[in-house]
Amino acid sequence: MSGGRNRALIVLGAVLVLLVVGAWVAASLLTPKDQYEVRVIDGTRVLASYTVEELQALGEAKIVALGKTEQGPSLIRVLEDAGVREFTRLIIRGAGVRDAGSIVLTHDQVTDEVIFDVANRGTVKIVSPDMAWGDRVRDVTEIVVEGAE
Amino acid sequence: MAHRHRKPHFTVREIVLLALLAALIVVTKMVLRMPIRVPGHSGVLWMAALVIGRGLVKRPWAGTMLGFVSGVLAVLFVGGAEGPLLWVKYLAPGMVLDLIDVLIPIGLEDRFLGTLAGAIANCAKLLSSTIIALLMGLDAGFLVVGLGASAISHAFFGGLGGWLGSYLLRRLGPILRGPSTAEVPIDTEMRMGA
Repeated sequence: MSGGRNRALIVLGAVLVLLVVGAWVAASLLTPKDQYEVRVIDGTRVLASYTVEELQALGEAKIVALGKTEQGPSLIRVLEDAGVREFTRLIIRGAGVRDAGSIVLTHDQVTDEVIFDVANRGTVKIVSPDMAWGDRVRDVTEIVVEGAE
Repeated sequence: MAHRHRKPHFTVREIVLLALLAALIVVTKMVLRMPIRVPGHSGVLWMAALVIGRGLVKRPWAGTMLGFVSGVLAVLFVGGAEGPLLWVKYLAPGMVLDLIDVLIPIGLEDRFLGTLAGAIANCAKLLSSTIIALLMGLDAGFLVVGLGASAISHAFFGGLGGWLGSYLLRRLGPILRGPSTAEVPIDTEMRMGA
């Protein structure tokens, strides 16, 4: 019985390894080869688009949100670089895989402490000390500017 | 001493146990949010509860039932990006535990089996969650980013939960399981029924 038990456990262990390896293979095969970008959009016009490296080049602000230090370019800095001077509100859109997929920020909510944190996944998420965990948008793809001049 | 055979259907005690554990799974998901930003960490308590439930109620489909009930409760009280399909994510680990118990019937009290079963069940949760997201039309490219690392963390936390579940099963099983119907002599049942 002990030999049978050991064999069964080895098979089960092999199944687990196969699952994990399968996930790695799927990830490496299906991950899009085109570059991840964050676009700043005003209506239908694309004002600017940024790769993660380009976003990081805009400077790094540091904040503490939910007990963890997050760092990356501030939203205000990105908007300035894209030429956005005035706006009434912003819609930050993401892939919607791990969250609601979008958040609306009014002009007053956009402070220096609203930043794009660069995640280990190679994408950015929007965070601020005042933003609840559930309101965060990960894998940000678009910043839609409304009421721009 | 005459012994009764176990009935083929769930007893009231077993249904209550499964319902309580299903509620525990959902409550831990709602209340006990651990400040660990690693995918799959909720699997520690989730898989522990599943292994305990499947270990205590040794009947076919017990894990599936536990997963389904916790899934329905989760749809009603937790919610999530998966919407009404959230229950599938809860059902999958329970089904996996049922399958493992059929293929390797040595009992989830075995710490190695418990650990491996928890790890695989938590990976099944990740797999079902990914399939749901694909069915919902979410971008596959974003879904698979970090999937490999996520699978490893799911396996780790699920294994930890499975080990914890099998440990608690060995320790608490004799208390929680109560007197088995298989061991209750007929004369005792007659006295209880009188």
